[in-house]
Order: sequence, then C-alpha cells, then structure tokens
Amino acid sequence: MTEEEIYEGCRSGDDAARKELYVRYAGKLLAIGMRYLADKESAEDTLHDVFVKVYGSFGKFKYLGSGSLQAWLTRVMVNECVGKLRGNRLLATIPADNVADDLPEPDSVKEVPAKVLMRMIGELPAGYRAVFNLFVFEKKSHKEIAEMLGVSEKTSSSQFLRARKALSRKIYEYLDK
Amino acid sequence: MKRDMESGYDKWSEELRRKLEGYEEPVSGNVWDAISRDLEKQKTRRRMRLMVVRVVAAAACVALIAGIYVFLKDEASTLGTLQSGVSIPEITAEAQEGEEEVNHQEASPPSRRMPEKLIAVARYADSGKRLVVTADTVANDAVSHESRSGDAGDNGGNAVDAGGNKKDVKEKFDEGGNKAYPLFTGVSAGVSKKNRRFGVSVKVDNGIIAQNSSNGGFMPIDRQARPFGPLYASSQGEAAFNSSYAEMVANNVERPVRTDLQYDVPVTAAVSFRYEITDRWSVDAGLSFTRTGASWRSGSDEHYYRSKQKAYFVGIPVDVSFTIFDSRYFSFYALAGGSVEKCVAGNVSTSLVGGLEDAASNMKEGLAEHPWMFSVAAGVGAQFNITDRSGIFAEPRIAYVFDTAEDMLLRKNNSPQFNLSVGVRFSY
Repeated sequence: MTEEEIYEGCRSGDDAARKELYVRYAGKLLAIGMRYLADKESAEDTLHDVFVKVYGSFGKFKYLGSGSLQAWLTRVMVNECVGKLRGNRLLATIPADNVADDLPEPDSVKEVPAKVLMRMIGELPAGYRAVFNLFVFEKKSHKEIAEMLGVSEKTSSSQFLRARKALSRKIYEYLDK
Repeated sequence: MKRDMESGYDKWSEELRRKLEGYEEPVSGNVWDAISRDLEKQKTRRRMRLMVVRVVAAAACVALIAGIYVFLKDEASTLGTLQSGVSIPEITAEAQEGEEEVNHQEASPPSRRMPEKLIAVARYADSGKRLVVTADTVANDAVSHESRSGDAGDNGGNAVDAGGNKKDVKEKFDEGGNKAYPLFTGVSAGVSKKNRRFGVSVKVDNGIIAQNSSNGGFMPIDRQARPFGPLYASSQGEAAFNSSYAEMVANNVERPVRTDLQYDVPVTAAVSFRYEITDRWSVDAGLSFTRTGASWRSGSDEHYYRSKQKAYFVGIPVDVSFTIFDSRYFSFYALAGGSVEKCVAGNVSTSLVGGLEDAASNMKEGLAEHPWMFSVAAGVGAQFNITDRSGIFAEPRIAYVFDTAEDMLLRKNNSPQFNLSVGVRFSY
C-alpha cells in the first residue's frame, strides 16, 4: 500500500488503511515520544492519543505528495508531546542564565549507537529535552520554541546550551569507557 | 542567523539528527487494541450524536410545522372566537329571500338579541356542509346544520340529512350566551376543545452532578487540564507560578497528602416550547443554560493548592410527555427525552497555599476545548393549574449522561442520577 493509498483509505475510514498507517509509523512516532517524554508509558499514551486524533482529522489534512503524511504525523506527535510537557509545568522551572558554550566534536555522535543516544536524551531534564528536540530535530528557532513552550527566548537558548553540554558530556563518558 | 554562526553546533546536531532519523521503538501490542476500541467508541458516539441531532431537528420541525399550521388556521378563521381545531365555516353570508342580511365579517357570535327574522348561512370549507343560523334556533340556544344535499330543505330552522331526513344537531352556546365562545363541539369529529394547545415554560433544575470524593494521594496540577482538555494560561506570571508549584511539590515529598473534590450543584435555567399533539401526547423543545462548578484541593495540610473550576453549557432539551391524569386544577404526566449541550465557556483558578509569595501563587486559566454532552432522562411531572392558562409544575427525573466527553470532570457521571425541575408553564 502506498502512502497515498493509505491516505485515501484513512480518509474514507477504511480499517485496513488505518491499521497499515499504524504499522508503518507507530514505531517512528513512539521514538519521537520517547525523545520528548523519556518514559515509555507516557509515550505510548501519547501515541494512542495521536492516532485517535489523526484518524478523526484526515478530513482536515491535505496530501501533498510523498513524505507529507509522515511529516504531518510527526508534527502532531511533537505538538502532543509539547502539550504534555506544558501540562506538567516542568518547562519553566530552570532559570535562564549564561552557559559556557563549548562545542562538542561532530564525529563523536557517529560512534554512539542510536539506542544509547535515545537513552541519553531521555536522561536530560524535561525542560532541556523539549528545547533540545525542537531545536535539533524539528529545526525550530529559539523564538518559535519560546512561543511553543511559553518561555522566553533567552530561556530556550540557555536550556538548549545546557542540554547540548550535558549530552556531549554523556557521549564523551560513553566513548571513554 | 544563529545556526550559521554556530557551524560547529550545526554539524554536531545534523549528525545527531541523521543518526536518529528513522529510528523506531518497539510498540506494545495493547496500544493498537486500545486505539481500535476508541475508534469503535468514536463511531458509536458519532452515530449517537447524529441520532440526537436528527431527533432534535425532527422534533423542532414537527413543533414548527404544527405551530404554523395552527397559527394559520386561527388566522383564517373568521369566527376568530372558535376554539382551534374546529372546522371553520366559510362565510358566504347568503341572505335568502325574506331574510335580513347580516355582516358576518365581524365574526361575532350569534346574539340572543338578534332580529327575529335573521338567518345567516355559512359553509364549511372542508366538508362543504352549510351552517344555518336562524332566529328560532338562536332563540333556543341552538344552531342547526344542514347537509349540502339538503339545500332545498326547510327554512324553518330544521336540518335535513343526505337521506332527506330531518336531523337536529343541537350545539349549545355557553352560559353567557352573548359571550364569544360558542362551543361547536362535535362539529369536527375527534377534536376536543382542549386539543392543539401550545405552552411555554420557564424552569430551573439541579442539573446533573458528579460525585464528591476524598482520596489519599496527590493530584498533580496538570491533571486539572483533563476536564476539558488542555488549558491555556492567561496569567502573565506562569513561569513564577510554575516555580512556586515545583517548590510546593518538593515541600510535600515527605508529608502525607490527600485530594478532596467537591462539586457545586449545577443550576440549569430553561425556556421550553410545548406543543400538545393530542389530549395526552405533547412535545417540548427549548433552550437551556447551565452553570457548573467544582473545587478541589490537593497536597499536605501545610502545603497544598486549591482550584476552582466553572463551566457554562448551552443546550437543547427535547421531551415527549404523556398525560396520565388531567383536571381543572391538577395534571399528572410521564415524560422522557434527551438533551444535547455544548460547553461554551469556563475557567480554572488555582491558588498555592503554604509559605509562598502571593505574586507567584495564583493562576487563572481558560478552556481550550468546548466539548459536547448528551443525556437522556425519564420521569414524571405534576402541574398545578393556577388559572386556565398558567400553572406551576415539578418534574423529578432519572437522567443519564452518555460517555461522550470522557474528560469532562464537572458533569460526567456514568450512573443514572436524580434530577428535579420546577417551573411555570403558560398555555395558549
């Protein structure tokens, strides 16, 4: 089943297409949820909410070619995760201050398995994690992140720097072992 | 651009992004089962919602059509004082030889003081039968009817049926004689004077309320969002509040905590329009407004937060009622119906208590979602008629709210519950 066929099927409420959509994207979306929420149970709850919401919203989604369906699902998942983090009120508890900006070595990432990187990101504090994910994976600017999370731009920037610093330290520790 | 300035970061983050792109986590099998169940529920809800909307629309259409029908019928009646539902004579006012002409446009009822020789002739639009009012019959408080075939019948005031037989159909005026309420009962078969009446009622009731509770354990503030989905903060000091909240949570780590939930009695005010289909069956449809409220506290004795939530619903209630007993002063009836309501507004105010700065201890939030609610109810009603046209009523019912908005804390209750409405009804 092609992505477009899945889209058409889901749009008309076809159960087989719905199942195919789930089979194809649930794992990827759960990984995103884990990156933001760091807890499998919460991530699966969110995944459930996202699919239920998505199945009921196909009328509002316009298929724009290959990759647009996954991009939409990712966006919904990210928004749902951010909503949960906002609800938990964990995002603004870290003060915005200046953090020393020592750039990590790009190649260091290549040597760490993806599963380990996922665990390391999950170990970051919630506030760091949200900003880090939005900046790195969703390619949002700090201004956009500040609007999404209801924090100041400076907070977003400092939380990102702290997150990067913490993550690079974990990576080096892992490589040193 | 900051990203360009931080080229070292860009490479690092790009590498990280590429590494995790397409990464998948194994999903537990029960997630799809839960999604399937929810999709089924959604389908059922959608069908239910559609059915309720159709029933409401159908009831509204029936009431509207019936209202227009009766209104036009009343308007068309040149004997405007006739009770609605009575077959209306077409006033042709045929003055016959030796008879004085009468101006029937005034539509006044026959009078005892009519000239002795007066005869008025009218024709029923629906049956074609003629109505002959003679001085003699009026003097005797009676009106004679004459079938069409009896046109050539006697002019002495007696009616002649199709078979040529004389037939007196005595229909008395009321005791006032001159009063404009002649009772043409029996003229149109199957319709009594009490049929086809409208009513308007204004009522209040105690709404549908969830159960109060008190449990051990802490309810995190984020769970407040559950009643109506995500809330949006309207306070400027959200960050300061969040810090205070985190401090409060930290203060309670080693303390016993509990959560108490208390619901206000929801108050509903409604205006309802009633159409009496027959002597016994009536349909009511209207508009309701409900205010609900709840408050809860969670935390230890020293450090806790207190929240108050208010929500407002607008709804369309539809009822069908069956009159069991009816007299001049009292009527008793059974009723069943449903209501569709939508949450139109609401807010949550939260205060943190326990050694925190005032500026950072209050937060007010509005509702981001406005869910629908469906309910059905059945019960009985008793009305005491103060005058011929007005009465007060009480309607105890058992109501059930459908699980159509799972997260609606204030009004959700999956068990049937008692509901009492009291109000005033005006009939016309």
